[in-house]
Amino acid sequence: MEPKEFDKWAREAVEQREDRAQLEAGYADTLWKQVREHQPKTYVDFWRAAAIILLFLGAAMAWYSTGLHADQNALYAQLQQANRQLRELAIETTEAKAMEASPVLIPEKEIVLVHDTIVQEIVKERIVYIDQPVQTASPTINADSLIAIIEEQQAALEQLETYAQVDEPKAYMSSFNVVFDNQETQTTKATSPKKEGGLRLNVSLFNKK
Amino acid sequence: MYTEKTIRESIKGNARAQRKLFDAHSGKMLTVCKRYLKNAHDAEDAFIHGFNKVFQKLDTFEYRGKDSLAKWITTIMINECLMMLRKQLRMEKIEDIQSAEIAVRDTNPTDTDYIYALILNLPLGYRTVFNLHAIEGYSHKEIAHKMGISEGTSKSQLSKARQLLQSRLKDLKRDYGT
Repeated sequence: MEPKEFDKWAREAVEQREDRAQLEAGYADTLWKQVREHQPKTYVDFWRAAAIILLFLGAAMAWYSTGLHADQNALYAQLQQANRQLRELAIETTEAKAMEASPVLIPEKEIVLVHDTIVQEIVKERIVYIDQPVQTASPTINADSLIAIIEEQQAALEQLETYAQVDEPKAYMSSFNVVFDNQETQTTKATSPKKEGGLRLNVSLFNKK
Repeated sequence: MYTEKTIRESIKGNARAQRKLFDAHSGKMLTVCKRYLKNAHDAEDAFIHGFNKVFQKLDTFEYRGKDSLAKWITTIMINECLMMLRKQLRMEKIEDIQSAEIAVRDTNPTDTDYIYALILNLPLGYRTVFNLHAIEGYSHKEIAHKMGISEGTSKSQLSKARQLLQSRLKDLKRDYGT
């Protein structure tokens, strides 16, 4: 066979063979992974990275909420209990229940998140009655009881903040001014002064004389 | 199968689009690398580096008709193989061929099977020059530049490769009675 004829024949034979070459699925996957591993970082899959970041955040939030630290667990349990007590005080009248059905949202500018999970819990618990009057038939509920619960929550939160070593911004509840109204309905208010970057809490109890 | 959109998405770094291109060409390209490098590990290395370069340089690719992308990728793969070969290229003596194994299918082998196996079993220098000239169509001048040899050596290697292939092909056909 003439050289050029031989070359042509060999070329066609090789092309036939190579055009029909296929990799087995598993082998193709293995090679593809190696190609991806060697690619420059500019080709990183954005969604994969986002999924990894979200997983990490979710794991971090789960870690905080479930509490791998025993002390944090105890403090957070204390905070939750205080929240529940406050909520129970509010949910004693039909009006309170009506408010629960249509919660009032706190303006965003007043919310400063320190520790997402815990603060969201606090905010969620208080949404019903912030800046809204709450009527209760119980004569034993007074400002002192209310303040005691709030201060307990405040102390728990501050301890958590210290423990978590959270930097600014911080959410806190400071001391309260108690105002007694001498009108027909005795109004007990407990209001925390609004400090810069702080979470304002207003709770009012109307006690019928 | 893929479309021009797949190529555009691959250029942007879309992993799914890149995988489509990879799946469309990987079978052939790995075979091309094995034809040059023979050793499976070397061929895989060249293949992986080659595909990385494909995705890095895909924005420079100009569509010039059907199969233009396949040819473009093949050129990249060959260059990767040659880079690897430049590190290990040595002119083996013709006598070494006699002991080389020929892998041919037992059942009804065709001429294409024969020739492919025979090319794979050529000595490194013969195989490279034969691949570049006879299969890919490079001139001796281009081969000399790529391999760092003289044009005369390229021609000589090609001639010896052809002689050996035709001789072995005749022997095989005789042995298998085809």
